[in-house]
Amino acid sequence: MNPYLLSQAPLILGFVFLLAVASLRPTGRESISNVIAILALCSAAIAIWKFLPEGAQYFGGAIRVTSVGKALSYLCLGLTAVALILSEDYLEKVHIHGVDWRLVVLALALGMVNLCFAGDLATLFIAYELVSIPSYVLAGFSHKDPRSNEAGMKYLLLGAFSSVLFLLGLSFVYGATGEIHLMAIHDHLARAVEAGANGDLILAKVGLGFMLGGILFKVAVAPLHSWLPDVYQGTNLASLALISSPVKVAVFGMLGMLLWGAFEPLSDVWKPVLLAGAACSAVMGNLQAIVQTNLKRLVAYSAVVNAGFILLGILVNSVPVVVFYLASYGIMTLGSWAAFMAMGTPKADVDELSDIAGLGRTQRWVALAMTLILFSYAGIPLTAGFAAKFGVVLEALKPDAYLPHWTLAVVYLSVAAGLVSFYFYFQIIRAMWLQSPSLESADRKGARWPAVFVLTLSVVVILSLGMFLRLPGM
Amino acid sequence: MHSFAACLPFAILLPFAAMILHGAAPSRDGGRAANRNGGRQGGDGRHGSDGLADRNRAQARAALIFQWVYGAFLTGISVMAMMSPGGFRIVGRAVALGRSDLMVEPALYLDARNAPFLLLLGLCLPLIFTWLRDKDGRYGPSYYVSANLLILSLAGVFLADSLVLFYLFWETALLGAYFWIGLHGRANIHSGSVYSALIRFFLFTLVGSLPMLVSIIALCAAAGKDPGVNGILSAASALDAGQRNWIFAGFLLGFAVKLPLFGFHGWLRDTYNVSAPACRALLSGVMSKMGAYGLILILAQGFPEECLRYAHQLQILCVLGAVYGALLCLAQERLIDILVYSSLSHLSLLALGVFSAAGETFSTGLTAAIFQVFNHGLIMTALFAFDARIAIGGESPLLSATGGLRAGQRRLAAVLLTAIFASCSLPGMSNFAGEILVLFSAFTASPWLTFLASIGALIGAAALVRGFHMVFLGRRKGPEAAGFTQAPDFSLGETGLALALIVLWVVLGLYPMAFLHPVESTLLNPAGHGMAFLP
Repeated sequence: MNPYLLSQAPLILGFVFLLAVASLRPTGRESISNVIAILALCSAAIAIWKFLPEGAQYFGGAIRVTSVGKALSYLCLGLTAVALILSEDYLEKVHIHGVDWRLVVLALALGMVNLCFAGDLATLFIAYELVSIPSYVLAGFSHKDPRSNEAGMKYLLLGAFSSVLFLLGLSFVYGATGEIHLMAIHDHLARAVEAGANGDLILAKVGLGFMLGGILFKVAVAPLHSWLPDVYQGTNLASLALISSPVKVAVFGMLGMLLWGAFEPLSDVWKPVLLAGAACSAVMGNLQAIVQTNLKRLVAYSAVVNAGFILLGILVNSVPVVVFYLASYGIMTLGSWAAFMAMGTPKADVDELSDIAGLGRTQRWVALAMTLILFSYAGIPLTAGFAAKFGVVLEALKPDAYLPHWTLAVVYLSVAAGLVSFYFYFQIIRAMWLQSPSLESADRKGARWPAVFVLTLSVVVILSLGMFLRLPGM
Repeated sequence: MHSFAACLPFAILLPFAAMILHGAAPSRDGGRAANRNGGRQGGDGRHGSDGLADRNRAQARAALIFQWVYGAFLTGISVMAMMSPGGFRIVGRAVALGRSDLMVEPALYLDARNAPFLLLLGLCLPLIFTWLRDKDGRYGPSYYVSANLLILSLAGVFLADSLVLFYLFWETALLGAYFWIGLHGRANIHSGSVYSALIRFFLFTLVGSLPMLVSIIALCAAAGKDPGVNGILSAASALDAGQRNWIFAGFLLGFAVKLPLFGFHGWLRDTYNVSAPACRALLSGVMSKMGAYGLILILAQGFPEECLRYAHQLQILCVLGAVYGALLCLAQERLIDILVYSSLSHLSLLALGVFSAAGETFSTGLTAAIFQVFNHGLIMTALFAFDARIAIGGESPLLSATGGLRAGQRRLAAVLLTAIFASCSLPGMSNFAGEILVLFSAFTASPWLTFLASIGALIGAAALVRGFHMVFLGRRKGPEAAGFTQAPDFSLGETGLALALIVLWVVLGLYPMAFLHPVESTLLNPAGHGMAFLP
């Protein structure tokens, strides 16, 4: 049997199995569906590790296994599994049928894994859609909640728009090069650049532009980020854990692999675009966050800021830096959603900054963990966030790395704009520690175990990534 | 000697342990208690029951004992380090910062250059926690947790050899101060709200520390590893002049805000006004010395060329600060504000010593600056502590509304006056020796600036003495006019502690070489650490 199919079998089988469970509709089997889904993800990761040697190609090059792709696929599967643990008892609270929800999550996981291994344009697009469509469904899953409907609709319309741009770009590239395999596209472009064949290159550059537009839209790089806070605000926390963490990792990883791989010859086209995106994200993300009082929107703007840093990482051509950044960003984000779940009352989630006033007195552990996660977001030493940002800036400042002055200027700008992010992260810390609890917070019950477990896990990972762990092979 | 270096991590670990123990103590901050009372009292436990106050007093006692032990430990190791040539260094196992090509060796060092800073911390802590002990049980455990976070970071900043470690402690010091001020600061009618002062302090400091971080990363990138505080000179030599300029500027900004230099002092007054008395004393006495540490051991030692190139501009900045601070002293209404601005004036003089250190006077200027760090820290700690002891509740007296307080607080008035004289550089006291050396070193650089700076010092001294005069002497005014109740006088023990401090000032004033000699010889020849490796 084809090893690639074998490696995907757990996800597909898990999907089919859950489909069967869902169609039989046994109530009260939610936990079992969660265990099945998590098992499917773990065995998929093991299968990828066991069966897919680096450098192998399958289906005539439609699938290409690289070390980066493998690392990213583990990361995506792991983060998805953690998000599933988080969903354990939360879905009931937002009136979501868990089996259906997990079905969609497995489809999403399949899409993310394929995105990491895509070797030609067709696979790339199919995997991209297989990631996108479940994301729209997840965002709008609580269909009785108008906010969730708004989020789902906004995400769907704008996401579809970005997919179309992406597809248009792919077809231009195909038209320009006549190739469908990414490696062949790279060779063709490299030859064309060497020969100075401008006719071909213009079409390819336009195509690359469309693709970049689509992807940057999808990962919410400023100024294409205006949909993100609305979607974050409307989406329930369990779905958000997926949309904001593993999906971001997969799409950013794909962007990196495309730009370092197939489109490396056109780096003078995409580098300025990424540079502008990074600068805009640093400035707009930070400045817009200042006036926010809604917690989810604050995290959304911080996602924009982090997206800027990831673009810088891609720009300095450093695979380890980007993978490390994605890993730490993914776990930080999951940790913050876990904290928000733990802070919620049995009826409602936390929403505004004022809801968490005095949390340091009522739920000390949750407040401590959230503080640490915010330190990591802000980039205070000993945390993963610091190590990640340190890596990006170090790479950019290396004397032998030839970087034009513009790049350095953007690096400085991102760090300087970080000052503002300190301000808004510390608004949350201020609310938790320096303000008195409100009356309603007294009826806050203790957090449920999944949220506490994931919170603890993310704290451990953040500290160990920040202090001594390094990702294998990086 | 090798085994002795193994003591260094304990300078950081001891306050860390104290922080954990204070944090684990049951208190009103505890989740369950607040949950129970939250509904009725709105969670505000400031006026808690007697049991609560008793528990808080027990915490205060524990903190007092710990700070004496810890202070003695710090004093011991710093004196040892000053006496042993070469000092001590300890290196931990290298850890990865994200990836395998970025290993950071956590290294601590202690020799006669940074030992005065640590000695200052070791002497200040027992003083602060004795004079400003929480006798009313007003402060819960979070007070001591944030205080110990600040204390361990201060020790860490002074001890750290690797730059990443240095930055880590630099930031955690800010966090400690953030929580200490934020949780236990109090606004009064003369200051803005606690939070507005706090966030200004926080952002000001970050404006300095983020560029400093970029400079640190740039040095790491140039050296291919973490060069360490003592390796900056060689790491920076690999870079061209333009890059070095930027790195220098980043560090300078960080230290200028922390010290603060003229133009970067916007956070100073309100922050000191709203913070708790003990916090204020530690902030002014020791935390501002983080900036001085950076100026002396990182800028002057690591970037001598740049210091020389911009010496004139920086000297002008220092003189501006010295004169401006002194003039502001004259205009202040309250004793605490006079202290704040005289501190600004004196710190500018200290920085003048650093920036005029070049050529022949290189070691003189830096040695004098380090001596002034020590003197200024002790004097400001004492002054702020004494000021907070005048009124019940720590309110600083308004000059125009008070008078004749000496009748009620004879001992306090006596030691406060002596401390003010010490601050005014009375000959025979240690501050005089240090200031003369600073001015001497500055004089070789620029006589006119030195003249202006000494005028500033004179005005500041006059303002301080005038402040004392208006508060303690003259006709006695009642508590109605003053707006506060006068606190009881210093106890014999507290006075004895102050006397011991005064004796130290006089001894160092009469025989400063005991302090200056080891510092200067190490500055001239910093190599030769007694090495030790952690397993």
